[in-house]
Amino acid sequence: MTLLEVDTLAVELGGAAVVGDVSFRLERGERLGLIGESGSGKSMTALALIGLLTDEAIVSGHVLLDGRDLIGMAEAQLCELRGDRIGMIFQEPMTALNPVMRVGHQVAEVVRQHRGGSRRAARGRALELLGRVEFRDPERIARSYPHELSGGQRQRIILAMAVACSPALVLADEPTTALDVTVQAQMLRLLGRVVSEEGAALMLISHDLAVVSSMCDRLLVMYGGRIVEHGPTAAVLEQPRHPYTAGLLATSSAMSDGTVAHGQPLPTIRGSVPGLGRFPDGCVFRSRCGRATDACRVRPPLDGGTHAFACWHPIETGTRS
Amino acid sequence: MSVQMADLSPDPAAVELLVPGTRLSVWDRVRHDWSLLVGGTIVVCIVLAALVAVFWTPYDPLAVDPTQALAPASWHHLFGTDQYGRDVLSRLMGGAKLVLFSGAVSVAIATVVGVPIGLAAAVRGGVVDEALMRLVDLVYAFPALLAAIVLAAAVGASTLTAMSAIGIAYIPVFARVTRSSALQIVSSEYVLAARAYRRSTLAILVRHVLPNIRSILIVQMSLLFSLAILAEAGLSYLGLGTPAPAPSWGRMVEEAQDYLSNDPLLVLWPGVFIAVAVLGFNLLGDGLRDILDPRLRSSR
Amino acid sequence: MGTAQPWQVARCPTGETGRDLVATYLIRRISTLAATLVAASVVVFLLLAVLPGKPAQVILGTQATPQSVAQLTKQLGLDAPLWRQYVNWVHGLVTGHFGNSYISQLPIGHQIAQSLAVTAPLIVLGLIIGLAIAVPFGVAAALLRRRGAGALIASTTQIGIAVPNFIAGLVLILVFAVKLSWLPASGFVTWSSDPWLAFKSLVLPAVALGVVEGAVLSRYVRSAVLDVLRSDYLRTARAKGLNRRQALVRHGFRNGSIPVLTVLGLEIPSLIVGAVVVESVFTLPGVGTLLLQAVANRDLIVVEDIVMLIAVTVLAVNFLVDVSYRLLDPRIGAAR
Repeated sequence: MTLLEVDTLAVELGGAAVVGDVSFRLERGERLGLIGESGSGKSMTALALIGLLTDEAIVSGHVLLDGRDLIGMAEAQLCELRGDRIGMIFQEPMTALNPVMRVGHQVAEVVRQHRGGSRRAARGRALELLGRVEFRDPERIARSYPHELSGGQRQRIILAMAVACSPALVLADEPTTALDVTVQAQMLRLLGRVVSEEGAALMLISHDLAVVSSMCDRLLVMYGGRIVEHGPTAAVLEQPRHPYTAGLLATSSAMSDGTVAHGQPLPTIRGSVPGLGRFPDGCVFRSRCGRATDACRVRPPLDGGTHAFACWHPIETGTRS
Repeated sequence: MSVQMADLSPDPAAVELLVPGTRLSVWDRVRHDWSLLVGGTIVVCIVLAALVAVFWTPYDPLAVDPTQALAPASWHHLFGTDQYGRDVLSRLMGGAKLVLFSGAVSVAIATVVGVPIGLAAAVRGGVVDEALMRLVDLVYAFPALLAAIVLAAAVGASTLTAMSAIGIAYIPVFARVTRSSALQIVSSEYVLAARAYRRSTLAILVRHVLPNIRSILIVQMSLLFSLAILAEAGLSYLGLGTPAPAPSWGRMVEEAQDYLSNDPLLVLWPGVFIAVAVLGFNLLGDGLRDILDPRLRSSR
Repeated sequence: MGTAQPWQVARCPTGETGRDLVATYLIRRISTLAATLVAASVVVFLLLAVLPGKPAQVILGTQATPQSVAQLTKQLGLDAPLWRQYVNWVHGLVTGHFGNSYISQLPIGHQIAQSLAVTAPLIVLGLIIGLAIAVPFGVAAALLRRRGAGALIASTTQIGIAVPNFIAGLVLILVFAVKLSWLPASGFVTWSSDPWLAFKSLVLPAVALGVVEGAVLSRYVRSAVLDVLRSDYLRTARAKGLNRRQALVRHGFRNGSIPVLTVLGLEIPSLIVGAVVVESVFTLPGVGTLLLQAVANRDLIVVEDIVMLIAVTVLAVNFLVDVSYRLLDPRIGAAR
């Protein structure tokens, strides 16, 4: 059975649709990247999946985990799943840990919450987990408070908490964005290794194409709360069909692959991301798209099989932009 | 009478942002405007009552009439009379004048002395800053009311004495608030630019710093006003504030206390007025604060 | 980004335990305390020393001859230079010899001790009642903030802050003493003669103090709870599978109590001052009443001693709060 099946997931906040019509599948052990700029709704999607949005957000659609719909599930049952079947890593390691509680205790807490057992056993497991995320002195780390550790260290601890109960799915929301560049690669490598060891599926959310391209089998490109392109990583990156994807690629790779000569201006996507609820109707991207026509006043559907896109005027295969 | 320390932070409910870009919920909007509206109305009513009282009250607040002692509410005396036959409504109106006077004196002293101290501390920095802040801490050690009691002991009880003491006791709050706000501004870019143009320090203060701290100061002034009202009422109740027979609401409570069982309204009316006045200035201060500093606290 | 707390200060560098930093901080703080105490004593002394009128004159009355006034002045040590008077006074305070009241000639130390037996329990009881009101109200106000009940609580709190404590006291007397006769309206018997009655005499005054204090504190509790509810670490706790209650209690409690504890310390002066007023309403023979009587009688040495006592208490409490909150919060310990 498919591990995760998301069907027309939508989130409405204050009358505005911030996420709309999101559908995708995730198999066991698969790695899916969710890419988009800030304001694209990707974090909201992740929070909606595990039911951690505030009460004011209205979530609709279906999220089937092993066939059970998480939308509308009782809170008590969701609590059982969180941390156990689904592990989550958030973006801000600096504030994600409780500042007045020792780190070892915080890791052990996950274990005790879902597996019960004695304090000693949980503590032992916590030390084991800290070793797995490459801490050379787990004892000392366990005794530390968060403020005594660096951002990278804290993120590793959060990773340890996320995989503590061998989850089937790990959700990582911008896990490396707040880290120093030098630490990012290490973190990703570690994330990949740990996830493989657990045989867990990974949903990696980022705005950084380099991050998702190295880690993920398939990509979802989001803009304006909607999926605009969807397909195997290689296909999406080499043959983008949606103008937004192409724009993203152009802006991010311009520096590294030398397509822009020295002294020339960098390519950008013109305009800026509209605020929530202010995306145009019809195709969400049409206010910034160079290929928009009147036809784009009607929202294009997402289709195309394994490499799907939502555009009336997609980029032809064989061309770059 | 509680000392509301410089509570700079606005009501956190004012800025519940879930995601950047969402607006405040309608519910929050209504709450803030409501606060300002009710508070403003109350303050306006008090000011009006005081203004009217300057020229006219139904009866002379000090006029004694033994034949009318402890009369219940009637068309002649809308709030009845006290044990000396004085009309309660007239005394309440007279009290309104006193309330505004008390607040004004305290706030004036605290602002006129506290703000320059805070500015000096922020601008000069170094030893001057340290010394000033130590001095300010010293004043903190003595609760406002205590200072007022001692001062009353020293020079005799009067409204001016009492309110001066309150004002002096709040100098530290204003100095601190001014200092921290000024510090933020002084290190900001445009002030540094002004400095590069060799503007005199005074000019910088007047043109750049003061306008920016205005809103914070206004809020603190409103809150101090309400605290001053409470303090004056308390001191007058203890006999250390406005002396008899002047119509201070606090004093009215004290005078009516002996008749608590017979005529509780005599105690309650001035009490209610005090509470309403304090409430009014508090609401006004809160409402102003939410409007003037809407996004001091950011949340997720 | 998470919320920036005003009390978050510089973090300890990686690896340092912070213990030596705490020790340095303590030393600095104690010396500040000592300096402030000395300065406070000077201020109090000078203020009352410059008052018009001679205490000796006051004691002996207007009929006294200049000679007897001069003699009494000498006897009381009031003809000595100011600085010596100051030193004597401080020496007396420190060694516990508070001197004798000018008016009653009774030892002040004894008087103060007796009145403390009333005031101290009153303040403690008032504080307990205040917390008992503030915590549930504040937490409820935070959790219910989006519903009508939250607005209702907020309004009640606003009214609670606005009502002066002497009015609250009088209303309580009206209801509970006059109409219902459950509790005494005034007066006090010593603890030794009738402890239960003594306690009953403190109930209404403590409630008067506590209700107002509770209203003030509940706003801070609410604010602290809101900060916790919006924090990232709470979200992490939920993501680990804790339900709302578990997350709030296990992770929020300690974080939230830190600012509340700080405010508690800051409210002690208000409680002391409130006690002075409330003692007057209920005619309790406490420190406040003693002070007021001394003021009325121009019994300056009593006034000096009591004011100093209060100042010392306030400063000591501030010091304790400062120190304990730095111990509670492991992040603090470095420079301010």
